[in-house]
Amino acid sequence: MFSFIVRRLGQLILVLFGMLVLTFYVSHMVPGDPARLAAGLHATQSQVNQVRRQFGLNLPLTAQFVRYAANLLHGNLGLSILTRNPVSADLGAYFPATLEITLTALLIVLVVGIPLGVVSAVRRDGMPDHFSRVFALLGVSMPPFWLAVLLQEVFAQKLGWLPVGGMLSSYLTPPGHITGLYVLDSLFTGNWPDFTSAFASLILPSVTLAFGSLAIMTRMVRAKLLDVLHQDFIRTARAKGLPERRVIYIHALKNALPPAVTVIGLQVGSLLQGAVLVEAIFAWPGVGTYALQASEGLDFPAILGFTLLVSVVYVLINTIVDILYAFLDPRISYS
Amino acid sequence: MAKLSARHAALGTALVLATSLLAACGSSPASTKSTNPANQALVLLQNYDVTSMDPAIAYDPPSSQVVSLAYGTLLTLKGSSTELAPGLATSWQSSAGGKVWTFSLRKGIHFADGSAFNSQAVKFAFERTIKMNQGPAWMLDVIKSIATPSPDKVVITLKYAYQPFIYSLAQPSGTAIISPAGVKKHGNAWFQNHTDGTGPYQASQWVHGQQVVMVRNPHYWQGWQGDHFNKVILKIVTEPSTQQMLLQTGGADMNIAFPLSNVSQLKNQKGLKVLTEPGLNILYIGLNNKTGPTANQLVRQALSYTLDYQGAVKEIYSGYAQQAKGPLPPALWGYDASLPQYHLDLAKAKQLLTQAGYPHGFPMTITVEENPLYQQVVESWQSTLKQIGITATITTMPWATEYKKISVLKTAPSAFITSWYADFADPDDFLYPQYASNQQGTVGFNLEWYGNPQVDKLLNQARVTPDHQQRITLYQQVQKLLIQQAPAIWVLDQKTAVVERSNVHGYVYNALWPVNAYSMTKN
Repeated sequence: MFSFIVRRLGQLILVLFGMLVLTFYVSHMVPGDPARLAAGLHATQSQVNQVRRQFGLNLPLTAQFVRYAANLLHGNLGLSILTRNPVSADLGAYFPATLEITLTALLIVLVVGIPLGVVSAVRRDGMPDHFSRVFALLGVSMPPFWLAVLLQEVFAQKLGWLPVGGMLSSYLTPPGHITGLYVLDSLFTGNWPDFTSAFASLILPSVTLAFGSLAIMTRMVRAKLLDVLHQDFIRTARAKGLPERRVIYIHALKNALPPAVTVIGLQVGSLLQGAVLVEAIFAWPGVGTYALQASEGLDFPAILGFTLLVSVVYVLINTIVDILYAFLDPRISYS
Repeated sequence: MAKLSARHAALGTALVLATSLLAACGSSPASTKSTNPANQALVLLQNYDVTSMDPAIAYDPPSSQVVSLAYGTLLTLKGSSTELAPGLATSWQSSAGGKVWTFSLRKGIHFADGSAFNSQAVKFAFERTIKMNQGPAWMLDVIKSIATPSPDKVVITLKYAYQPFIYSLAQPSGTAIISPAGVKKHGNAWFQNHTDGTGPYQASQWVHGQQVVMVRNPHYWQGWQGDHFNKVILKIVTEPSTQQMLLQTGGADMNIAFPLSNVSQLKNQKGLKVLTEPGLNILYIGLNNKTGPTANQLVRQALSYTLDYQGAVKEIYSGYAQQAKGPLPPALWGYDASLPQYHLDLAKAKQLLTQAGYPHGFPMTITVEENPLYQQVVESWQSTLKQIGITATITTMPWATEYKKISVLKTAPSAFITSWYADFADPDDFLYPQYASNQQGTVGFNLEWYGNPQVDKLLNQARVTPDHQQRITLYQQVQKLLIQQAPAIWVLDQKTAVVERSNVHGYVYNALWPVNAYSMTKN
């Protein structure tokens, strides 16, 4: 197992390097002058040149890449052209918000998706199954921006139950920084007004983000469980007189889970991607908002920093998923 | 027993979460009461995040909003007008034909750090902006030297006589006065995220991408007697539909630049006031004056008769605009209402094209940035052009890409559409960068590659003429020449949509100035 993890980490470095080269060259190939954009349209040529020098944009592209890669080895992601802050500091400020919304969405996918998949498999062609089918169809076909606006209209505007957007009521002071996740930080510091506001603010964006993945998870668990429920060992378990609940949750579900875990790994990427749109609609100050702003301003260091961060998270999650296989299915060995 | 405990723990957690949720639901923004701290704070929506709080760098509207609240400027604008008014300077005068400017400063003013404001601070702030050479520095580029004969007197000598200089001081970008003591103590980098000025509110917290909280400056020179907000919160919301709901539910109090595409939905909404005010901007289609058929004046005049101006105003801008008459917006002094105006007349256009030697039309290229309103205008234009035989190919691209294309003659299209927004309240800011021949390409913003020695002469003369009336006459002559030569098609002047909740009072619209929260209240 240890050698597998080391090997995967080695592969991770290779993947990241390849991704870095690709993103660097593709982003720099977009026509446009970030220095002119940053300096302003009125800026004199000397001002534009100054910005160009400051961000190394006057160097040949390969020299820029070498410089970027060398800085990266020292943990330096460069300076954002738009915010003029170190990109690592910017990502550090924005990422917890994305993490909060993504983790909550993932939690919803697991907590709702797996039981819903189980119920629709067990009650195949019954009401719960029909419901989950319609639900899944809606989940994959409903565009997130439409769902977001719909939820805002109903729960924020009409009913007034939940906030329209933002991470916290404007009138509250954010909780002290422990994890950067407002719900947890306010809970840890016992700040109840912040906790209630942060928790309420989290509901609509995370439900929107989770919806598509939830549908996929439900259908995946249902399909796999139906498959497993028809296998001999389940028949044996039932013949031995095991309670049905035990047969389903202990024997069948454990065997149906590995594909679901694969889905989770893949859905993390989809959730991070979806976060860009959901964050914009819900005024959620995450890396998606940051990336959107960076791409409009041709802020190359920020775009690269965002891509690197998302890639690292994605690859790490999928490595963890691979490792989890061994725990879920003893037949899999990484020796 | 262990199982029972786990179940109890789970139930307990669920109960806590449910209670919290109910509590959260109960405290929705809509249920705000008069005792709520909400009434002591003004929540201003911003369409995107602040990029810098440093007055030498801040140049975009959200950053300028922070700077205008935190810092003072020598001059300001009177009410809704473009008329100059005293700020940190009580009076000003020019000599040597507009080359030397002398300002008398207000006494007894302090920065937020408690240090005194004086002529040395003005000199320090201006020289700092010039030295940092960032976005707004070009406005002070004309300064040759700054003398401080006394603590309350500043004498600024320019490199050459330049009348628009005085107007460039009546806006917050680059000209706001920063505390020298603050810079000495904290260094320049600190001001990226903090403020230290003479303005009423200072930044106390900036949660990137979410909001900037500004609190009262105890040293503010106008004092805190009377009803004033304790806090001003700049809430960053990019999505118009979310902004709309926040305004409707009371989650935000106002937006002075509400997206025009969504403003119709807020008209006649209970609890909201929607003001549509003339903006200091112009939407125009720049034509390539140097290469291709559009280099011919007759072709450009013909093209000026091919746009459905009223359709653009009514259908595309839903009436939140008015047809432009020329390169200046009506809200700016120097605008001449008596000037002739192009209109849709395809027969006339066809006749001019025939005269120019293009009776069957020609192919042309148009570039447009990713803006739905601009895209609709050029698509409508494309259909009318087709009726007189002109085949137009539209290419949509991000502004940065478009700018790179149109600012180089070799890659410049036949036409492009964009807007010009005023930096300060002087016609020079519109006419010189766009139509002076030394401003072509990346030097200024003359992306039409237009050049006319007569226009150059008039523009330069207007820069050095001290008499205001005489300057107006000169700018009217420039407009007349431009309309005749049609280097561009001036489409419309976009209005600015200000949306505020009905319980917000005291806002005075000024096209060049952000919200002055000090003079506002909420009940």
